[in-house]
Amino acid sequence: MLDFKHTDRTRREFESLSLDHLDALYSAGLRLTKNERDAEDLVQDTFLRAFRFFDKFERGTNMKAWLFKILTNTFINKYRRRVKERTVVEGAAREAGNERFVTREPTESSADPEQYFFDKLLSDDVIRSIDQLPIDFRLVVILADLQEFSYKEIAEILDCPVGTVMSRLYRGRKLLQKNLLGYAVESGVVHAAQAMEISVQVEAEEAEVLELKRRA
Amino acid sequence: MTHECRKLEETFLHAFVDGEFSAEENAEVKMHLAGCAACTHAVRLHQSYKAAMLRANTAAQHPLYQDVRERLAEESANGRWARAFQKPSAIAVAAGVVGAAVWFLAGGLRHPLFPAHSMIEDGVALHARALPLDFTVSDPRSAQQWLQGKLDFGVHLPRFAQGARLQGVRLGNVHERQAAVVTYYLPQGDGRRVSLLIVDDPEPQLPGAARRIANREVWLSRARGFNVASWRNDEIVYSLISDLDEQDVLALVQAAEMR
Repeated sequence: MLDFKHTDRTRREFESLSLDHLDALYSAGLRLTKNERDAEDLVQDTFLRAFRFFDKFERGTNMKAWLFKILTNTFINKYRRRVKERTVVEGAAREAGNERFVTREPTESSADPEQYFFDKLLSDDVIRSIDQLPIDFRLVVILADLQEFSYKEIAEILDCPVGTVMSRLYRGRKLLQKNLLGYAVESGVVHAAQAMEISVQVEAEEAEVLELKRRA
Repeated sequence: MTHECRKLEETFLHAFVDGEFSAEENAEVKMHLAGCAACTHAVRLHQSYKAAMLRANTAAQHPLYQDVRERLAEESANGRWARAFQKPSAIAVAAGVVGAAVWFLAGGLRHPLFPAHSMIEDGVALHARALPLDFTVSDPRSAQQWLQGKLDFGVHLPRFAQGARLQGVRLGNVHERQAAVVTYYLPQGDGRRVSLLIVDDPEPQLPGAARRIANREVWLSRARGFNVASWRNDEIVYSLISDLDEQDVLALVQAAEMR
């Protein structure tokens, strides 16, 4: 195939714009694929695609968001093969929708369980909890909380409305925080008593929701 | 915490901490926070959550930097026409360039990266939505009979020697044109769904890169993450839309017999 566009100059321009984002793409790739080998392949793939599509990139616009769009599309296309995991999302979404434990009444005492809870978390537990999320939630959490993209940028990356980003992010975070609580108890970061207190709150609110549903 | 404040936490306070607000809006939220312990607590909690996430995201050092640069260099060299002139085959390449220019001017530029044909986009949207079928049927002949008289063009449903099983048919519109969407599933592919979009399309060009498969010109393109393979039969355009890999799509096209 003859190609007039990809000269050395184009490549230098592409490299100067894109290689700064290699670390970010790789760390997001790790959280998406959950293993180094696949993450490396995914990132390589992403860069090659981005380079081939480089003439489609509008100069002066957000290169990082553009690269992440290619990364997530590449990932989703490969990922689509595993249909089963995707169907889990709906159930998990419903479950996450009922979670409320972070919004519980603040207490005046110094032993405010959640405040300490997040501050004391081990990074390994955070990573494990992210990896447990179903893919649709994992994507928005990675983009918002690890890569610090704005809602609008995420909407563009995932090609969906901002409202969808916000609701997925909210539910994803709740689900993640529930996973975190489990790990935090396991690794002794949160005392069983505190966890009890938090989960009692969760159960109380779940019961409240069920009661409302029953009445409806 | 009041019910109202809970709602505020959900839609507002996360967005506030996430830095989604303008300076003015921030000032308003801060005013509210000054008088509301519950929301202040929720904000602090979300801040501590976000901080924990960022702490966990220490970028892994990776071996990729050099690899990526090398691959890009290869890609660049492979794609560079100028390099051809350093070789003995320069004249042939020059002839090729002229040929390519003629082909280009003749409207031959079809590449998966060029804007997808909106017909395909519409078809992909129909496939993605998986609306209920108008007629559930497993036998292609009955499906073809059912379609007769419902469309203002004749349709030949392909027979798949292997792979895809017919599930049913639905009528629709793509790009303001009558269309039939035939749904198949793949028993060997986790029961995955494949749609065959059939439309009478007078456009001279189909989107994507052309390829010759089983004595047919087949155009391959992508839209919204789906692979699309299109071909013509008696002026009617048939497009297979699925999330299969390109290889699997081609195998399916190969297995399609148009009788």
